[in-house]
Amino acid sequence: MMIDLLWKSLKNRRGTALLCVLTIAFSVALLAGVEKVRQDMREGFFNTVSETDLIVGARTGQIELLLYSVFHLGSATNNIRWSSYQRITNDSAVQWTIPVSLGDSHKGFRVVGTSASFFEHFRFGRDKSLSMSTGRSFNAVHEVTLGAKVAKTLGYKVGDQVIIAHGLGSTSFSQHKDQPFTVVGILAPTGTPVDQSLLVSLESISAIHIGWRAGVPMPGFKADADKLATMDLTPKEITAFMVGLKTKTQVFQMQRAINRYSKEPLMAILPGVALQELWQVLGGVEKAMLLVSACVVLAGLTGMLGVLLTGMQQRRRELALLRAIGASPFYLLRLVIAEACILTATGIAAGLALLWGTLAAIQSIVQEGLGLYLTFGWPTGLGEILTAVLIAGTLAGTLPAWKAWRYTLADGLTPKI
Amino acid sequence: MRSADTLSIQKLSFSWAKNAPALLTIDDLKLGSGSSLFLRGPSGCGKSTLLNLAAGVLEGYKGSIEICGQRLESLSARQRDRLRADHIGLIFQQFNLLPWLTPLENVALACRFSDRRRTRAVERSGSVIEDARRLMSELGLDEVLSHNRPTSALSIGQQQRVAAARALIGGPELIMADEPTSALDTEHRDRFIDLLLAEARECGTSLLFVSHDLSLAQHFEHTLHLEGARIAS
Ligand SMILES: Nc1ncnc2c1ncn2[C@@H]1O[C@H](COP(=O)(O)OP(=O)(O)OP(=O)(O)O)[C@@H](O)[C@H]1O
Ligand SMILES: [Mg+2]
Repeated sequence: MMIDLLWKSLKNRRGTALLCVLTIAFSVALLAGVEKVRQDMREGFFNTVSETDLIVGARTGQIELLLYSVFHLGSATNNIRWSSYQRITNDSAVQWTIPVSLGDSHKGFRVVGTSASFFEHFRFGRDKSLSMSTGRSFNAVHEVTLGAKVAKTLGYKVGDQVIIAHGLGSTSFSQHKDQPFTVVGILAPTGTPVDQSLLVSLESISAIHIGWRAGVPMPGFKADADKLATMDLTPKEITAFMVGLKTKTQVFQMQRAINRYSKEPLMAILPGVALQELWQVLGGVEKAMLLVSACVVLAGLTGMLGVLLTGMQQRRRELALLRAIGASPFYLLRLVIAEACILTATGIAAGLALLWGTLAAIQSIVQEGLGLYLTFGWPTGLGEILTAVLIAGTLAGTLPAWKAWRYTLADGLTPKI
Repeated sequence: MRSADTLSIQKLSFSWAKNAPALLTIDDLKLGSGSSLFLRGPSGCGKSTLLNLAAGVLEGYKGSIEICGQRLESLSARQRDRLRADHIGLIFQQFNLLPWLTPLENVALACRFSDRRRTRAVERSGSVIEDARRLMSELGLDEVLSHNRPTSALSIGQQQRVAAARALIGGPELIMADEPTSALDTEHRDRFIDLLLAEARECGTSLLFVSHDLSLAQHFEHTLHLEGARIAS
């Protein structure tokens, strides 16, 4: 029976009430948004590679290997021999391997030399495999399959010609001009670094480096298709490779065996462990973000408290009148607390609507621009956070309610001004 | 056993501060059922304070106050609130109405805090709103009703009549009015008092009317002159 009185009273003060709701809505949207981005980022991050048991490269730091092989950040100091790759691929415990050869680029995007195995075995997200948006995967020398972001940014279509630059960086001077590549397919977006890659075969990588010494083309050498066809394009080295085992239980045994490999210094890492270690480096940022948004919520609640408290003075007369009609001080106390609770709840609802509306509006932009896939799902733990906000908001209401209580007792029937 | 008096005050003395001399001392005051009393006294003599005491929102007095046979000092704060809602209608000098309710809702509001008055209003007119309408009509507020005037648009005289309707709805035993006419001109003032008295008489409601304006005393059955303690002693 209190609700309609409350509603009419609030409607009468719709300006300040709206202000309260908005401050809470914005702070809740921010808090929930940060939590959402954090969780989706984390999810996306940990699922950059899935189903891969080991990543093998030249001996270096665990994070370095992860960074250059998976995230295409930085570069390997050493490559590994093709024979070592062959040896491990043929091990009886190994189900599949994906070779990765890095070092060339195209307009700032990395060129990844790999094999058909990449399309067959690479998994990301929750066990998702790569799919083509148009065209097909490469199957010959001088064919390239583009990641979604590459095609989108550079505006390439199937059939376009692409010149690959030697080395990394978009302004590389030495380009493999004599061996243009043809776009044969474009991958669907994955939200992983694959989107920013140009995929070619290992043989293509060998081919474009024929006649190169120490990073520069040898003068007078011209590679034409006929000559290439007669040459052995088997790579001599690759940068790293991913390994899928037949049974997961052999993973530590395999890791140890690779780390002790006698022919050259190799290192095998568990992607999950390496990702976890890398995430911990980034974890501080994550906590700082959460802390800042919690402070914003606190500021929002304080703002509401301020508005409610100043409103109390003006409502003194109203309270005395209700008391004269027969309302107990306890009733008025409940009225004011219920008001704070309703304002907070409305603010939370509005904030969530705002967040999900924004999410719908920017989801595709964020995915294309930042490679971050924002889901519409409810972030875990958000319910608890919002309950805490609601309780805090209601508790904030006890302060003006206490003021109202004191007024009603002091004023009796005649409000003092 | 219920006494015949609506309001009975015995050996009352009250002061705001602990050791200050009493602001109010009333030896014996009785207001019989259906009768009217004019309470007058100079400003600051404690008239409003007396109403606060009788309405049960102020404690810390000596002596006894009885409303409809119930001694206030034997009741809890909660019970006094209930007693006020059930048996007392109050009218003030101004700011009687909630601006965010319609005049009709303002009148009906009194029944919200009292089952007894709600039941009576429903018995009388079928519903609370109907009874509110009836009272407003009897108090000459047909125009306000028919034009659906918002509370904020009412003249002071109309506001006071809406307040009177609210005090009357559900037939409480006692109406206490604290200078309800001080903002009205002479003509409106007399009409208001006559209307209020007529309605009160019809409902059998006792009326305690407070004012410093002696010329109003003629309308009432009894008059009590309240003098400030300082002046009296
Ligand atoms: N809450 C309070 N605390 C302390 N003193 C008070 C309080 N309320 C009223 N008083 C004092 O009690 C005295 C009587 O006040 P009251 O309002 O009852 O006078 P009144 O007779 O109604 O005057 P008026 O005709 O001007 O309305 C005054 O001196 C006033 O200052
Ligand atoms: Mg007074």
